[in-house]
Amino acid sequence: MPTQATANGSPTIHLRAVDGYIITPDGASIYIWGYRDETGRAAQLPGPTIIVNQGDTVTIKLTNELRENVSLMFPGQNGVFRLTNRGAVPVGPIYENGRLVSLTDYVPPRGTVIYQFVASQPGTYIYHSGTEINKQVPMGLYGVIIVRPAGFDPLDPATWSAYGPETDTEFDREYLLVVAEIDPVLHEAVRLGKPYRPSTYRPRYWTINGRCAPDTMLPDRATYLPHQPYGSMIMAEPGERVLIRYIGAGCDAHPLHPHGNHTRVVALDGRLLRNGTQDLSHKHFTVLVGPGQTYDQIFQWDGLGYDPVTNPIPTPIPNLRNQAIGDVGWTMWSGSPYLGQKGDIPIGVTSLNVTGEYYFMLHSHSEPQITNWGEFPGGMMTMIGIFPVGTLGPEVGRLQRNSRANSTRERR
Amino acid sequence: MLVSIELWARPGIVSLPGGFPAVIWGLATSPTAAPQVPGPVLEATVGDMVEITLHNMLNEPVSLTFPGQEIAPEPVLDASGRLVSLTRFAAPGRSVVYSFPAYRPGTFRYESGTSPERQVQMGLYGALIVRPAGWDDPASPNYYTAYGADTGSGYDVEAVILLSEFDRAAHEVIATGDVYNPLNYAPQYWLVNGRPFPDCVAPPDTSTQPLTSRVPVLVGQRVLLRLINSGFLAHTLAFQEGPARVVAEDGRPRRSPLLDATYDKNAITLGAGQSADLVFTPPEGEHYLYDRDLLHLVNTDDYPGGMMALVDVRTAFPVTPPEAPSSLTATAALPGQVELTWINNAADEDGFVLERRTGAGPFLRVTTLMVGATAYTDTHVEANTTYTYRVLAFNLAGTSAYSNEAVVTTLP
Amino acid sequence: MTFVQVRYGATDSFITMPDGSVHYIFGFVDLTGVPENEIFARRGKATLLAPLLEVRVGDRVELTLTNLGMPQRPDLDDSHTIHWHGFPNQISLWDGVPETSIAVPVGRDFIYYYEPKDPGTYMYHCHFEPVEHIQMGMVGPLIARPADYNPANPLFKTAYGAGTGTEFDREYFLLISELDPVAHEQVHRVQEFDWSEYRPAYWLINGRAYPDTLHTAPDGDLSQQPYHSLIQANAGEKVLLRFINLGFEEHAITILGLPLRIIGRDAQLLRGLHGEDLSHWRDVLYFGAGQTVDVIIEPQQPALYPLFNRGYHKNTNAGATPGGMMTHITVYPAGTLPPQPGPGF
Repeated sequence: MPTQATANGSPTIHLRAVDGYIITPDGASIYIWGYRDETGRAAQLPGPTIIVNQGDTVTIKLTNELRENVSLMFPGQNGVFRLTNRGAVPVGPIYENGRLVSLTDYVPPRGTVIYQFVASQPGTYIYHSGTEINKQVPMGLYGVIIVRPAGFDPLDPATWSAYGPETDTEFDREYLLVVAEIDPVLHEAVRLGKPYRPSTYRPRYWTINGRCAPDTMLPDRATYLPHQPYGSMIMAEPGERVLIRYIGAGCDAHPLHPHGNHTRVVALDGRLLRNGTQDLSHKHFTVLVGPGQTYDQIFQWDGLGYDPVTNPIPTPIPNLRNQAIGDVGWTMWSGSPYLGQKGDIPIGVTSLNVTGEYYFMLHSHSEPQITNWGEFPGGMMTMIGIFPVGTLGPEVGRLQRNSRANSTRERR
Repeated sequence: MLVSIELWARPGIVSLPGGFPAVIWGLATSPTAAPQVPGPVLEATVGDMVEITLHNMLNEPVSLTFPGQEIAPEPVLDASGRLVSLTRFAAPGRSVVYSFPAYRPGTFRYESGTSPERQVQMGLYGALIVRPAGWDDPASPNYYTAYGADTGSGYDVEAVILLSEFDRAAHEVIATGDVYNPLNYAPQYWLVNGRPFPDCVAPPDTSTQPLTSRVPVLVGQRVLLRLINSGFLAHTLAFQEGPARVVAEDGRPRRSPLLDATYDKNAITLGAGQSADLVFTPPEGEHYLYDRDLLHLVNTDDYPGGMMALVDVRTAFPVTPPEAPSSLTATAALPGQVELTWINNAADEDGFVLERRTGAGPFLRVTTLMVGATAYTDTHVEANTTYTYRVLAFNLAGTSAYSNEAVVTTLP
Repeated sequence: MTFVQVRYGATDSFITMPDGSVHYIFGFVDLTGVPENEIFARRGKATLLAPLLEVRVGDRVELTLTNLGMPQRPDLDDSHTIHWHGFPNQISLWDGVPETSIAVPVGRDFIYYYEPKDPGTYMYHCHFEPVEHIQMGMVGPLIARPADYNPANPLFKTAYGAGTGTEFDREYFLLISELDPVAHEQVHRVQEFDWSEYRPAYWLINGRAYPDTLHTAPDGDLSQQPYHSLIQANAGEKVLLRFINLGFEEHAITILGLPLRIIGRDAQLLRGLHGEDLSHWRDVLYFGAGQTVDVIIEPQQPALYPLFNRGYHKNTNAGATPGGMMTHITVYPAGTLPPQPGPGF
């Protein structure tokens, strides 16, 4: 599933390009092409998250189980080679009969190709197919590479940063949000082997980590989403520094807006926004996530200091029977204005709130994108949960090497 | 000094992939020269006074705006105070003169300011480059810089990469003088420097689409890319071998004595009308720039095509053009297609340009083929029609003579 | 520090486009100071935009939302909310997201409370079924002034506080959005609309399309569209333009002849971590839904400077040109115009 690194300094990852299906909350089953690793049986969306260390020589084997040529590109990694019997050769565009057939060295069906590069710079990167990319990437052949800065020790929180010491990118928890769109007509045409007209492209689903809301809020590896293993619920405690990595894997731009607070954008496309001592980071309440681009940000929620005893809210708490709570039968609210407190939720409404945590929506502000085929709620939407101090385990919001988890969702 | 430029706005014909003609309105450098899409690259040096005379050979008023030049506009209003033109225009058969001082260096646009939703789409747009004083003086600190000394904009090779879209249906409506509804805007072609891929990597020529998007570079050279979006939509250009450093946006350097705000990007989004200057030193090899909205990598619905450019990095350039291909044959073996074969006599060609004409019409480019091509199947043919084909080879030193002409009449 | 109390009603009404077409909207109507026994007379009188909410850092702001219901849609029992888009460190109670706190049913009130801490340009909107309620018109501009704001003293008439280089002589807000007439018609007729088919035909500044953007005088047809966007200034003045994108598209806005000095984004002064001044100039402002951008222009010559969408195909009213997301910036010789009495218009 997410991450592998066999030997320190020279990890080898074996990916397979395969097909499979994902499901959407409105009951659709959509045929995809995607990458899987040794632990998966079918394509997953997005592909396995690859985590390596700065300076690693990264070897990626790609076995093609599709019925057409496929490949891998690593935008932002320089000096990518293909390993052959005659040694390592630089990858590049491939022409056949005078026609560009692939932007990079590809592998035909049933074959295996081996790519290698040195992960020289820390950061957040995308990987995707470089063959028939107008079809293969929208079909799902994309994933994420994280390069840890030198000195990063997954066991020592004091070393956790996105770009190394003195870069003001230290974090307590981290999350990946890969955004993309789906036009089901393309997927169905590919499934049936029929032609597809790119000019008719019209997305009906908008995904975070391959899922549409409300599935985005389900845990990692939810059993009924076997091919969409990564959740995107962000969980943190007040004051914690949360690293959120946005990755635009689709073809459109998506204005992602977290409620609760701004984010400070510290890096673009895997490059720290800093020249020497001069800092170019800045805060946004909406980040326009463009295709093929990555955005690393620090989010921190400190609250306004309201406390039922020392600093009560200055407005009357209304009689909740006079208000609309959980119009659709459920709410994520605790019923209380105070963090860590629970109030009376009207009878007949289910509260999904666990321990008095606050929830803040994070969503595309191009609002048709928070629907599933036009029906609100859905699409490119998730939640940020702010939990009372001391209620989240250290395993929450961790992307670990050699672990099966993007982040685990167990609460202490 | 005074830079005096005369431009003639006139209708012309461009060749779209497949050999289809389309009407454009372009800018010519003489009353008899071919109108160009985009218009000629206008160049000036800081301190120059630029004087541009526009001669209108169209049937409707035409004007030019120079965005980014800080000159007070002279919009034309109707009796009710509504805009008729963003600036002074020339009536049909008349001329208009614009002048402005080139007071700061940069990468800028020029384009029609009259019914721009029609006239800019028809082809009345181009690049304006203003260079710093001393840019061509080896003794000057500004030598071969885009923005002067200490702006991080030094380069060895520069290229204009001008993006636009082409809606063939809109061209047909506008050219015939019918009422055009901008709500119907739906481009089928995505251009760099006036041509889509693969024609954009063919050499410069004297046609209505004279500019190439192949950027020849020697290993170790710094490349300055002047990206301009003259289209109506945003475009994201992704670098196959990035990142590149953004040294200026909209003709403003990002580095000053106080602050170095240049930054690296692996893919950059340009909104309609925006420009950016990027500098990088690419390694040996062919590196594409491509629209990361992957659905724009088509010509109509045929992949590959669309918005791509090629940075071609070598250890040496050829010094002589390739030998001409010979023995071109054209066979109508099946309805709806023509099989073409030829003998390649060159050892150092980069590709081939295949042209055809219908009956006694002008030759139009069918496609551009890469190195080693000796055959092509033309599937964009009418039944019972006589076509004449010819092919030439090209490399960075120039083009060969044409092959023999092959005549074929298609099957019913 | 001031205790600000405002009250907005959620209801419906109709707006007019320059081609004479009439479109059903949802929206807010200002109920501040309206006696309780008169608020029902404001039903069906929503405005696009909703009223400018203008506060100052340090203020205590009580915003009461009253759901007046939709006279045109008596069947519709939707609740409504106010979401102060971008309010830092919000608590969920006042965030206006029905799924994470409270929404206000028909006939009821709810008080939102804010103590703004960061100056800048924000927006507010309803967050109940936001794709529908935002498109239908429940959107308004929101300005938070710095604590030291003093319009009588040029050093303290700033967007982000004295000493931040954001002094201005005049200011305008430009809330840009789009209108898909099919969506509005379907909602009016109690029909489903597939939001993945969203396709606007009108592009708006402050709820109006060009040339209605220029109409400064009260206009009967524009009774529910109170904000024009004709920008007027004297040569040499600094004019603060507060751009708010509450449409669903990205837009490329440009002013022929005037560069845009971008001083703030998303209600944050453009500064690096150590105070690096990241303000910069652009000719075209490209920004997405849910973003705000603060721009200062400094026209030196009297002239008419057109402001328009560089996506030229959007400068239309359902196909007719010129139209859409355009307005004029009229610059007079120095000393012509008296000082601007208040924000905006």
